Amino acid sequence: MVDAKLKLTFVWLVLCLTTLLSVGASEASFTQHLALIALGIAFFKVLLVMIYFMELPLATRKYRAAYLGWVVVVLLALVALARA
Amino acid sequence: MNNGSLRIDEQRSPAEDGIWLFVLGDLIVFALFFVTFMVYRADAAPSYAAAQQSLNTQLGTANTIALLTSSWVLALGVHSARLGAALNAKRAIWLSACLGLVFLGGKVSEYYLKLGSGIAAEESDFFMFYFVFTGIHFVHVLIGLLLLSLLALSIKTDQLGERHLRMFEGGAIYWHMVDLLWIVLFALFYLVS
Repeated sequence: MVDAKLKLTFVWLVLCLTTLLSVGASEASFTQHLALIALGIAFFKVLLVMIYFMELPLATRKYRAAYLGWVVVVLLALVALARA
Repeated sequence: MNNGSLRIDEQRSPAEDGIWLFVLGDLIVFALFFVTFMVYRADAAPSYAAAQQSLNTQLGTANTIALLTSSWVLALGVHSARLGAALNAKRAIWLSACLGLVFLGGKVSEYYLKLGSGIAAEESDFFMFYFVFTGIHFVHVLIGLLLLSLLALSIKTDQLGERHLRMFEGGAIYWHMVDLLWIVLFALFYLVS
């Protein structure tokens, strides 16, 4: 259980750091692909929350497929629209 | 029971099946919101980018960190509950709810600043989406706070039964959904330029 708590703490740190990274990238405006970077980081964070906080890997197979499908479909749709 | 802790099968699905279905439904509704926002944005990207400049990114970032921290604390609470440490679980729920209140305080001050400077939903499409979508999310946070409070108040002993634990897991899954929806809203409104 200590390992589980350490793992959750590590995930939380990654979530906070990637938040700061995406804000920093947005403010630095160093590339024209900021929208893609922001969306990529956001959905990476969404996956971390689903996997480690919601414990999606322990959910039944149909929900695992549906939630991961949601991430893929929404990310692809938003990226396509951001590039339009 | 073993040394005051529950024997929980770590491989079983957390919470009731219904909560996974409910959360999935909410995720689909918000996915439609996200896509709608991006469709309208694609037609008027410069005006959306200009409107985005008036949002307070620092406040949005602080709010994001508060909600992420709240989710983390609640996830730790679920683990405490599985160990049978009901008091620690209860503390985690209250701390998580307090961080949720911090988030709401941040949102209220943001709304107040915007409305005070004459920016309302009628200002532009961007702000119409901003107020409506973050407003609906705000209501979700309020419902989550109510659920967390009821959960914490229902823990009266230093032991948690299996039924109580599953309710706790269900509440936590809902709260994490609120967190992940905000992650996407924050990216769309504050960062995607």
